Amino acid sequence: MLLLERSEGTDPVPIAMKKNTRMLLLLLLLPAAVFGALLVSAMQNSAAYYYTITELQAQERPDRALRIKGALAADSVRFDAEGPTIHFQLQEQPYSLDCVAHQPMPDNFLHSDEVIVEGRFDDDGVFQASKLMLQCPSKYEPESNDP
Amino acid sequence: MAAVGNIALVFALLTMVYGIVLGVLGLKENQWNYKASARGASTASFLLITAACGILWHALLTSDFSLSYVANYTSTDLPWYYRFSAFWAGQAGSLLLWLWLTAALPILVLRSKLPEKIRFHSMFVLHGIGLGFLAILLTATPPFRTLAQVPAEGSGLNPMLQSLGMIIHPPITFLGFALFAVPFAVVLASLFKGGEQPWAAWTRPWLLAAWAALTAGIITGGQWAYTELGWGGYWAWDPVENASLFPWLTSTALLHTLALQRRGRGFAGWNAFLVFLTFILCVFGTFLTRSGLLDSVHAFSDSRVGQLFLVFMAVLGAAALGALIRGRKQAPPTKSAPWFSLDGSFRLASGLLILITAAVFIGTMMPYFSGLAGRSISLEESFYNQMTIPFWLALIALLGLVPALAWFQRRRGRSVLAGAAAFPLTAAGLYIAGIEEPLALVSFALCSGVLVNLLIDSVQQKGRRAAHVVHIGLVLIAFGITGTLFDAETMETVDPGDAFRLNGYTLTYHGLDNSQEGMHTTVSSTLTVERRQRPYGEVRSEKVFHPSYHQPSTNIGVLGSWREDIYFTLSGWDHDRAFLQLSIKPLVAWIWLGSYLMYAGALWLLWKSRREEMGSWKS
Repeated sequence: MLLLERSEGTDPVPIAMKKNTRMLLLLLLLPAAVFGALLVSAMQNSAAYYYTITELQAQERPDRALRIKGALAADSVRFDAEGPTIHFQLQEQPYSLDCVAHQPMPDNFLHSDEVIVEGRFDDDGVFQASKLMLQCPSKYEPESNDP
Repeated sequence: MAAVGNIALVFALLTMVYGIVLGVLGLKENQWNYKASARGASTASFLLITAACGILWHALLTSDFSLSYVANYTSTDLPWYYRFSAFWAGQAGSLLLWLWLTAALPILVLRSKLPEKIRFHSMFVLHGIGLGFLAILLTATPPFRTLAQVPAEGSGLNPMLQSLGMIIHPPITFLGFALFAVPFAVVLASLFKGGEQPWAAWTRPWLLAAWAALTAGIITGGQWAYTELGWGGYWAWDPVENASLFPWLTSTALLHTLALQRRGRGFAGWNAFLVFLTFILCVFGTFLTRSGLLDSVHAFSDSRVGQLFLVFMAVLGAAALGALIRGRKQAPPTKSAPWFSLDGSFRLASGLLILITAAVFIGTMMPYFSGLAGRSISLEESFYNQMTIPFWLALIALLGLVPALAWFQRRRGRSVLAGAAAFPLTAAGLYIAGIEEPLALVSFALCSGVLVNLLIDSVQQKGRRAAHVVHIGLVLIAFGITGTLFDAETMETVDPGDAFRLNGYTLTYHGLDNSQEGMHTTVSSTLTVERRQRPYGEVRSEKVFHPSYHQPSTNIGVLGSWREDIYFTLSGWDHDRAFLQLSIKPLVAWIWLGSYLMYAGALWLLWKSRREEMGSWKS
């Protein structure tokens, strides 16, 4: 829209105008084409597919980047500071999923009810989380102790 | 006191309505006393909301736990400055803050030099926005909700929010969001009034002020996230971070096409659209964090507030659309800018910024849109990097062409050759120095060439200096971000006395220190750092145990230099043995320097615009 500005005003000769329009179109199409091509390739490289824990029980575990949300089973958290490695389970009743993340334990980890993990399954069927997303402590949730 | 707070908000709502009614009557019958009364209503509503804020602050500072908000976000062991900043720790308080800032705006607009009708119509719009916030506050998240059972102690502020960032980042970001309401209101009023209004000049100081505040908000947010464990560094392309970037990107694009409009190059319709879009995106960001539409590190869902925000956005959008349709015929005949000219480069820069906005928007909303179509797909950080880096580089390259474009026009300024020479020289020099990463070579060489040209252009063109401070800031940020390509990380298990090497540094671990301060216990480790056998400094990381949280909070240690940051996380320990995570983050200091230059440049532009333009304020 930005580039669709009329440029006829500057040039009264019709033939030159056509040439101008063609150039404009070219200049418009070029970024659009670059944008489109980038979009397709970037999406292929970076997509993580959302699965529920229940869905993962029913089928073969997909061999691609996944995003999974679950309730953190608080007593399942085991932290090995050497490594460092966090072992934990995400639950979606009645199922649960074993996960491992190789990173220091985030400060709000034990406080989070819900955790989102991104990563892949390893050969042993353990989910190797490369990214953990936790509830933010900004606590913009409905207040808990409503009267 | 809580009752007084509620009453103040209800009365603020009434006086805002009263201000609109009296303003309409005053304009219609041209009665000065009605108009004065409407002006008084603006001031009164601001004072009432100020009183409500004062009551909430008083309750927070005196730990009045009968208020649910105070009990939820503070505790008695909190220092006063965190009790003060707990004001915006929760939803109700942060909306109240936004409302308060918004309520101050009609007073300023009514005192400006704009034509009377525009002033009053802008005031109506701003009151309308204030009413929207008030309606959401009072119906969905009342800040003065009381507890039947007063707890002896509050639940405390989450340790991650006990940081300097919490004191600065939210209010300054909200200030930016709030200020964008003025251009929204003024342009809306101008388009509805009809005729040709010079709103490009009227709105520029406001846009610059809002842009400066939002820039500062994003910078302080990035600095805060950099030092918090688990927030993914200074920028993680998290939906909430992106939400603050949308209005920043669109307003940056807008400032460039606005310059074209002021020079008679058209774009009035497009600029009006961007003014509306920018403010709606500010509201959209707040909506995103509340709606639960997307998963985010920072977001929280409260569907009721989310729905109300959706309605609010729909109303704003409808008003904007109506104004655009009404004002569509006003656009003066366009004398478009030639491609190879300074004005042409403004147009191109604006277009690139819009493409970046589109890319970030697609990435952010992808989980939602793909979820509608079937399986939800989320895009990782690499998506954003891959999508936006080419356009950022193009944008920076364009900056380097600015002196060249002047040359095209006037056959002057051959100094562009200096930049053209700096580009291959830097690339060659770095390649010889051992840097082989192509992206790094391109980016560093581009930054150096563009920097040279911008400096030369600043010397030659006095009028462009302020803008170039912003542009040089952008180049330095790009330079600093390129350093990410050379990040290094190591995990170490160490006993007291152990030393280890990392990137030419020798770090020695001396054991753990325990300290007790008030109710907090702190376990810390201080590493001594040597470089080339000489003492270089110390870096300290600690875990603080809070009584009200069963997990300690981690303070990351940063030993910075212009070259690189040593970034130290105390991961854990077993008796005297400690587990350390250390990263080398090159060139991060340049990101902060560039960011603050950007902010300083924006303030300079604002100062200039205040002197040059017809002005928005009476002196």
